[in-house]
Amino acid sequence: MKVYVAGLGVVSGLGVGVKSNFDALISKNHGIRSLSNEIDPFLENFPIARLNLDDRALSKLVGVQTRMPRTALLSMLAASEALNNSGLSAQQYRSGFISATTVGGMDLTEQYFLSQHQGGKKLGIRNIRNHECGRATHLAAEYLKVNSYVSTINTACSSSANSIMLGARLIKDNRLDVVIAGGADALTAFTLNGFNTLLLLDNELNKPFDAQRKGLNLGEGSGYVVLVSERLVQSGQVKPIAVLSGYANTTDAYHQTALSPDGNGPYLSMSGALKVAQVNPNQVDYINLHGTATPNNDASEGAAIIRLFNEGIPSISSTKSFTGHTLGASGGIEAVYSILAINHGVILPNLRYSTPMTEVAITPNAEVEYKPVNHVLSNSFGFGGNCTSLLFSKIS
Amino acid sequence: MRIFINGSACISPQPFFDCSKPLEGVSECVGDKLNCVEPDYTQLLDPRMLRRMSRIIKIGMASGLSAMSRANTSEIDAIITGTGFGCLEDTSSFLGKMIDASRAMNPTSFIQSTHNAIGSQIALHLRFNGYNNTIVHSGFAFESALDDALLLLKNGEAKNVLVGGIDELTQDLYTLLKRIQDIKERSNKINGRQASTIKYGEGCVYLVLSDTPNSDSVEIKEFNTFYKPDQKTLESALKSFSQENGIVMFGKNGDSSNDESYSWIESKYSNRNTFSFKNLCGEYPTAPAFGLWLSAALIKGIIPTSIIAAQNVNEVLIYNCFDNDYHSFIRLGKC
Repeated sequence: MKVYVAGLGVVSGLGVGVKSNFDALISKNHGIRSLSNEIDPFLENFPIARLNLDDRALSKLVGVQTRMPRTALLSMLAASEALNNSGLSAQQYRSGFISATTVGGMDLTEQYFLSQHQGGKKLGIRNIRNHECGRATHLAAEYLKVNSYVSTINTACSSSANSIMLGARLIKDNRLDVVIAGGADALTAFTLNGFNTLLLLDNELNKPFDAQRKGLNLGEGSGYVVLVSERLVQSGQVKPIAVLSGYANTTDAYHQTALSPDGNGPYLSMSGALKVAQVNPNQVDYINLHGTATPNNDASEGAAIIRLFNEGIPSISSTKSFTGHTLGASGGIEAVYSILAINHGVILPNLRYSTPMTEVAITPNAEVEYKPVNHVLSNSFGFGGNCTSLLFSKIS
Repeated sequence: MRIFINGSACISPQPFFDCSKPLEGVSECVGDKLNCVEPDYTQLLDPRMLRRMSRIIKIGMASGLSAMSRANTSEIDAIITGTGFGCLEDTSSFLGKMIDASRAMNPTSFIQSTHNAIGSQIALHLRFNGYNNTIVHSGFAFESALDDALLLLKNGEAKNVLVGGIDELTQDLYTLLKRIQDIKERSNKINGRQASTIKYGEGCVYLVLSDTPNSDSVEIKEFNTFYKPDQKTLESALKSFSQENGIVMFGKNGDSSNDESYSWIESKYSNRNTFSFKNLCGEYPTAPAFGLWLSAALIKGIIPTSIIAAQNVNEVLIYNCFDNDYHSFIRLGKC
């Protein structure tokens, strides 16, 4: 039983919607244009990729009246775009919404505690009512009018790849016909400071897979795909745009915040996804890398790719050079980009690449390259060694 | 396909961790803040590792590894953890230092604040390379995790799965929950409802689920979840539950507005032996994991059935409703 993709929705530092994101990608216009002290004045100035809309403007765009976590607003915006794009109504089928987030309502929680700590006007306790990760999903599920299944995953930076994988498995099990799956994360002072204490932030623009890479730039956004069952496609009720042909979730089990030098977890997740799809490594045309631009991730991911693909390394690029690392949203955003690569027959570029890494000999695509793209691997690896790879394929 | 609980461990406000011999009974829960009775971790975990671990990670590690040793297995194919609030102590600590003048944030707190730290630490300890997921969907996180586990087993993607539910009650959380409840109480009063007797709790249960039983297994006979079901759907889910001498466990928490969600099922089973498990563990997002563990322990005779005023317990139905929208039925029985 195949699982198809029938709709896409995305919000990132590149803008709102699939079109503005794709246009920016092929024009090589990155979205890492803001600075971290807009969010936390105590931080030194790190580049960040922020959606150019404040909470009020975002609420207005989404059409909600009450105050909600920014994660929930980002989630609603991209998930509703994906659903509209599919032409389906969530009420008409057995529908599910599986989202992912690492911060949930942390932005309002920060504001609440800050107002308690400082003098002046205190914020009401209702601001923390939506702190839990599950609340952002719940609010968005109500907005989407999903009727059968709602869940939230947090496996750090691989979160939304896992929500897409779970959605596919629920469709294969014939529990659901339609699943909106992906994730959302707003930029918060909590995550910025967290990554800063770990010394993982670059104070310049990130350089994925480059010898000079120093660390990551954080970003925010949301990305969702609408997964549909084969039966729904065969009945002619929906027009699919790609197939989710493979997936695998594995654990690197090396270190809480670092991947193993040989990339064992990434190797297992990529090879596992190919195995599920019954696709050989030499059939893969493009890998949308996890490519955070930390010294550790890129060396480990590169080593795993060389181990799996040997001489026949496909085109590779990290679109985090455009969006920054959007954490719990990255798997969803990059799933959307991977499918755009298939549909437009284009390899997306990896910005700011100039010098090969010393650890592994592997070169990302620095330019936009048009060519047929049949199979794309999308990699997502998180803290705790949580590795997930998804394989998207052209409809044959 | 049949699915069995082959081993389990529970750290909760009740003295239920060590069940090498039959447990005597339950502790009386004094006050409305119920914290775990914790075991001596030095018997279970490397003391050098213990120094660096937060409390919730110790609780999770000790439960997860004990469930595996009790199931007599070192071979699992997946680790799935449900948690509503995640690792709050470290989240609060990092957030607190970020907001106060000190700005002395500790990277270890950030690392241990992520929800998936519990499942990851278990995987690191076991050098485990397989499927590892953490589900964080509020008061439905455990049921979602269980669902993921059963999906793997049913489709032959796994033969043994370590699945658990875990949440911690910190002082900060307790204070906030009380304040939120105070607001709710005001509206309850206006609507003529009784004052709540809610207790706040915490706990962890890990289970080894398997497609093959051992000599000590309890069977998961049925598991169903519903999101925003109509009443007809819920009632038809009850039909398959045998009408004989089973026990019905409810997830009522003492909040009158919440507990109204259970009145329909209570009226169906008014002549049956029913029990509210949150009286023993308190309310927390993954409390249904405690309800499941308690039910299995009653079936196995580890816990005297006198606590629920019953004799032999062969079958238990656990029904939990979260936020009026999320419903779960778990039916356990002797295999």
